[in-house]
Amino acid sequence: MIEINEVTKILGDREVLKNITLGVTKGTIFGLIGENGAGKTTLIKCLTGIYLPDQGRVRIGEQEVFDNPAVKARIGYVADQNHCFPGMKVKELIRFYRLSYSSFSEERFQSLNQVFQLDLNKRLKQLSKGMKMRLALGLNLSIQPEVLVLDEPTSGLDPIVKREVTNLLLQEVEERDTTIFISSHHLSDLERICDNIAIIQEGQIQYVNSLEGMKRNIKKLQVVFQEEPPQDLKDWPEVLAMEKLGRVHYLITKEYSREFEEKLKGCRLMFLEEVDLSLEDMFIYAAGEGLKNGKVLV
Amino acid sequence: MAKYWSKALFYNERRNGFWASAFLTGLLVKTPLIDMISNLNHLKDAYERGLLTGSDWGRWFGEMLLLGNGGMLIVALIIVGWLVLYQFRDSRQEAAGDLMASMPFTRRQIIFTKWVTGVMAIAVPFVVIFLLLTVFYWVNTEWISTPFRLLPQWATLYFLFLACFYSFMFFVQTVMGHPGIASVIGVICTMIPWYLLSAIPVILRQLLGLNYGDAALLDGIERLGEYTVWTRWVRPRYEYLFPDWTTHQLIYTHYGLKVISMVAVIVLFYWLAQQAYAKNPLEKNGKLLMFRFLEPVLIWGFAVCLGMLIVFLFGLGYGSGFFGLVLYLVAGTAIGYWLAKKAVLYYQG
Repeated sequence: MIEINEVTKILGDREVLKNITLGVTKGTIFGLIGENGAGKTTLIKCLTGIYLPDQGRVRIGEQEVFDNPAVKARIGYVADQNHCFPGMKVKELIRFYRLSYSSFSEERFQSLNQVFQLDLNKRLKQLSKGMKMRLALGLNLSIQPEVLVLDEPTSGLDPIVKREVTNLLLQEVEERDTTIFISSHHLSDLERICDNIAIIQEGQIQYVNSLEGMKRNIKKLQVVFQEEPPQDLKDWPEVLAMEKLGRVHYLITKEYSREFEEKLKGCRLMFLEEVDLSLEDMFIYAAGEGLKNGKVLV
Repeated sequence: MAKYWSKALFYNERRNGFWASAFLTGLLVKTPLIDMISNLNHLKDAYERGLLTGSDWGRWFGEMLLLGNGGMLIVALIIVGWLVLYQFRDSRQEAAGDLMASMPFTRRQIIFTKWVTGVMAIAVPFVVIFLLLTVFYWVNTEWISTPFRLLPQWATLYFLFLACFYSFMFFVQTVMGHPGIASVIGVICTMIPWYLLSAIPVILRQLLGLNYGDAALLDGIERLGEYTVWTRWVRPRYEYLFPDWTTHQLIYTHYGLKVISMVAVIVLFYWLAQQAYAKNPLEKNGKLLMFRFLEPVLIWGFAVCLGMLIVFLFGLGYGSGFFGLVLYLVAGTAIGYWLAKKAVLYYQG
């Protein structure tokens, strides 16, 4: 459904996106995670046709997105900043969307608004950050998009609405087979809903996998050696990061396998146990510890 | 038409257009309509008291319409400048600009709908005032000796003049990323042809030790400068009438040529704006310039203009001599270059 092919984008003198290639299958939820300034928002702006990539192409349903209203009519976009048209009333913005998107459903908006509780007569400047986010979500779900692109959609939302929103997204995929591309810092939210995850770092995709595949491959192992561990353990290709707490060594592996386990056991182990990693842990090790050790998740 | 026009975009633009139209209508109702009503009341009063003498008092309508609105023109230009600024204010902010760019509109639709809304906002007040003045003219025809044709001529010429200014400012907004600075630079740019054509001959004459009349080329350039005082385009002339050649009336000279020229200017700047906007890299919204190739134009343009201004302020009339003038010119240009470079670096990020 979404094809991002060798996309490069330069902003000022900085290459913000470096030869990015990604594919997203129809009816799935794809999560993009990365540190601040990693290039998430720039990638999303290329994906939604706001920016024209300097190299490469972005296609949705086999059509170029940039300056193509036919494709854009099928995309919903919820930006991380929604401080636009401050003087406009909510009901005026609804009318603007209704005139812009032939697929806009007022009934759908009304039913969503039972959750979001927006006052239609308020001006946008009177809305809080969370309210603006609810409005953007409501409007973009009401256009019944084929592709929904969300940049930090849960920021500013209270936990109850956040839960409602993630449920709505899951419902959207289930009922309408919508493809969702989502970037977020709230990794626990992504973990709950995403089928696939990509980690972006310094403008490059470091890792792409299904969430299941990620959990299968990236593991934390708690290990106690009978004697000293091998000198080169940190340099093993499977080891992404290593920590030591007393006699216990914590190894983060990016390629967990039986062979690796056997290899470790060959180093005279007293104890070995797998510890489950959350998506947040995986990201921290990939972005923080991995890089510190000069290692990447590829 | 849908290829160019979007009802949704018009809905979004209508607010700015409405307010500009309302202010412009208010302005035109004050000057000339209310001023004329007031003047007519004075005339009637003078007539009743037997104070109306001479045969040419009936020309007041034409004179008030064609001559008595210098202040009105300045206010109208400010309203038009404000309209363009507000039309681009939202779309040059990251959030609104990105939202619009992600929605199902082509850039051609965005720019065309914006421009047409602006031109309509200028046209509607002139249609309204034309209709009101037409009624006023025919109701009070015994008090007016001006031919009616001057009224549509006036309305058309003023509308086209404001539409020219609007289209030029609109074009400037499409090549710059910061609407406020674009407004200031746009206004300055309208004066640059006059400034250069008037200043260059004066400075060159001083540098070469010539007097007015010594160099036909320099005199010609200076005279050409007078034609770049744009308000000349809407200024009427007195026509002295046969047989006594003392009776005169106001007319517009070269009216057809002026109309055609202004329409050409409007079309040209709209076309340039559309071309520029189609190539706008939206990541430069909020920056000074949308295109890098314009940086040296802005820097050197500012530097040279400031250099010449320094010569005017400190060099001419103080007996500075050839080397003194060159020194002022070079120093002013260098300061201008430094300032402009700093500004470009600051705003381009």
